[in-house]
Amino acid sequence: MGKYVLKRFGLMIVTLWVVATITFFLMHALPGDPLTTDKGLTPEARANLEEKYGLNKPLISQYGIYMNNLLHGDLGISLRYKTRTVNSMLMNGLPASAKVGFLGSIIGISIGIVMGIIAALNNKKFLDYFVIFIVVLGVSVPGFVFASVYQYFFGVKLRVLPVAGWEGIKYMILPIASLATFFIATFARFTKTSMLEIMGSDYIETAKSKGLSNTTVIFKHVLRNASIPIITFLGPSLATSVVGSFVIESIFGVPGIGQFFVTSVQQYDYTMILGTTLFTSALVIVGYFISDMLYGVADPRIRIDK
Amino acid sequence: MKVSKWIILLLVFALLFTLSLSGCAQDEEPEDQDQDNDNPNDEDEGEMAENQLLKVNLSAEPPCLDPQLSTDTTSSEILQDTLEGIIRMDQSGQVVEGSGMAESWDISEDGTVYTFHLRDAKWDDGTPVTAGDFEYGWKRLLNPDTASDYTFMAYDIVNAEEYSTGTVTNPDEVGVKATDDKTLEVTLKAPNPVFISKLQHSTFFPSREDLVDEYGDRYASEANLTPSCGPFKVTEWAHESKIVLEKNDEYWDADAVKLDRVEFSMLTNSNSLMGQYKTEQLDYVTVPSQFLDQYKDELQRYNTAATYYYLFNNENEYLKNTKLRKAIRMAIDQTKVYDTLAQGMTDSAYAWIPPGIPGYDGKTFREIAGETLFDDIGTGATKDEVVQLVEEAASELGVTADDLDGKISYLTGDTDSSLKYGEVYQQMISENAGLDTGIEQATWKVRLDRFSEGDFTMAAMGWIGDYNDAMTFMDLFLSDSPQNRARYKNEEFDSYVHDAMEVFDQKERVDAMVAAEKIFIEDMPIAPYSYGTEIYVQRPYVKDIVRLPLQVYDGKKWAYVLEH
Repeated sequence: MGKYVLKRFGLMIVTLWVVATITFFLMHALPGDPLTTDKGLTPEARANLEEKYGLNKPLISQYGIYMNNLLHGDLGISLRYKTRTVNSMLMNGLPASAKVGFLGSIIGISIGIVMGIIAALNNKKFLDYFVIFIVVLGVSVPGFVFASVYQYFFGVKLRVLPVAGWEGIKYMILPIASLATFFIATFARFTKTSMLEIMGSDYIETAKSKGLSNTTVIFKHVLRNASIPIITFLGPSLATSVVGSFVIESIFGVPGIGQFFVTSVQQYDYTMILGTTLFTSALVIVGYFISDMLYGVADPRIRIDK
Repeated sequence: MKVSKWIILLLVFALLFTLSLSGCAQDEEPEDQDQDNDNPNDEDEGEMAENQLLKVNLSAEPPCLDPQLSTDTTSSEILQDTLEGIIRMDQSGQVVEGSGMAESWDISEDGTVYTFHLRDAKWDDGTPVTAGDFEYGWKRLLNPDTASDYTFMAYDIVNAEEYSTGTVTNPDEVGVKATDDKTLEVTLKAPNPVFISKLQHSTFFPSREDLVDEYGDRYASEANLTPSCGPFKVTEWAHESKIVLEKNDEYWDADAVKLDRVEFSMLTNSNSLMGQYKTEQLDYVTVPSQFLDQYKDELQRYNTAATYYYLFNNENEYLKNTKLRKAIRMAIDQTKVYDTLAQGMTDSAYAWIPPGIPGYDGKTFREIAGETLFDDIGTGATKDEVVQLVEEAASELGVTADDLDGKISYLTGDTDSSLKYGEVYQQMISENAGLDTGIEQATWKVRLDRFSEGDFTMAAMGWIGDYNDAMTFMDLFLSDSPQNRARYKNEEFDSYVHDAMEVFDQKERVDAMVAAEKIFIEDMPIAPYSYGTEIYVQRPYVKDIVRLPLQVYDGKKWAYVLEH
């Protein structure tokens, strides 16, 4: 087990290195650069800036310097927010993104799974159609529409919740609900399909004919086996939602890191682009790792403790 | 069968629910107007509110509150409230002695040596504001290690350019010197009548050497690392979320400051912004274009010191022809464009210097030079004239008018709205000038890059003034200006602008610039199409926000709120 974790960790480092390298060179291949401004920088002022940010060095040595700093955990100074470091900006935004992302996905996934189970058990009855309706709506309507509707209805119309801002628990409800909506739909669909498939298999028929109670069959046999595909999505979903969503953050004014994904690219903030990319990649890799660990819990055949 | 029946039924319910929501939205409007019209134009002012709190939105997280590194308008809005330079424009936009940190100043006979006499003033921690703080700040701006993009603002000063570019290494040789704690002596390379008005820019604000040494790169990066000597101080800065200013009791003119607290949110989403205004979480807000119609009865507006223009590449083998450039601008009915796409709230431009920029004798530059220096198809030019111009241009270029088809491509922003405008222009140019043109979209940085490489024909561009004088626009298109992306060269124009740079008499200077503008529009190296306009809604209880055309929009020094 220990050896397996170590191996996975090693692979993670390699993956991150590949991601960093590809991002670094793609980013520099974009036309324009961070110092391009409409004020028509004089060549001397430009030289001073290039010197300060090391942009005057050959690309390969810039790469070397970046990698060296990265080894020391230093993501550099933001090229846009001149007095702030990428590390401090990510750490500053993480709590907000993580609260919304973690709670939103956990709540959404839990409700989604429960709804999926209900739908599967009531196949082709009213409750099933109700769930199908929610799923169709949740999957086909884009997230920002839900966010805007919640904001308008609860914030502007009923005035029971704040429209936007980040001052306390009250301000977290709508962003969390918006994120959860997406997860409810996605996970209800997975759970239902997966359960129906298992419920039709021979060993379930066997279990039933052995005289096991319906509850035992459902919880011990069906659910356990049906959880495999759900787990596959669980880890990465958690990981990506923790780094925040640009749409939800900008609609509700959540001071998270989701917005940096978009703004850093628009502003050619090289260090921030790399920072966000690496940070997300690391989390996604960890997410998959968690999924892999959970497989073993659900199905002893894929356990890796040998 | 059964499945689809249920789903359809539920979807119908959902549809009805959504419709009922949008129905509510429409119902609400008249109700709101009633509320606002309770005291229509209530002139007898109510009581001053007990709680002097103003809630507003800042368009984004301020990228940098270090005055010497900051270059953007968002940061500038905070800096103008928390720091104070040698001068501060008064409520009417005038620069008068004693309105800022300098109580008075003397200018030497030859116009090159300025001696500023500073008043007794303190930083928010009680430390006196000294001439040394200014000397330090300005030299810090120029120091190559600081790597500021705005060093050019100070190039009027002796050895400023030389020091910032490294040809002079000793900062003592720069023409800025604190002769004692209260006296700042500045020596210019040549007399410059606009030097004083430049000093309201945040680049020239003082900095604290002791604190820069102590905080290093983190100077002004957090609320407690941001010193203040202006009307307000930063007391809370939750990055990407909120910034709070409170009255600075140590400010020299603290008696004039009535607000106790200003809270800025940093919302970017238009729906959220207007939702916050509607639910009274914001006291005023700039109205995003898609909301103009909904708020049309409440809208207020003011001009900003900005002009937007079609940038032409004057070195292009076709656009080097003046008649062709003119024909393109004249073919566009700019007012009609704004009536359809912007509810008629934006002013079309028919000259280069925007309204609001001062002239002399109490008149603005525009009032002296005339509002309109050319016509387009909407203001009197005829289609025949435009077509005639195109034909003349073609024959001067030695081609036929048909050969000009497809040679010009309009380079614009990568948003849907930019494309929408681009398509309207394209259609108007085709209809009225008979020219087929293309549209290209690219991001801001890519466009800037292509401008500097000359890889464009026609593009959308704009300029926001840096100081309160027509020169901030005029010097842009001098032959040797780094901002001259049009690659325009006209010696006569250059010489008028240079004259205006050296003369002190305001009338003479402005007249020289009026003459320069006339030549400029006659040549039309770029074609102005609109002036900057800020459209906002504001609660009636908010009073005395100073909105000036320059970047220092909504100055809050004198503002207050009534009981509401």
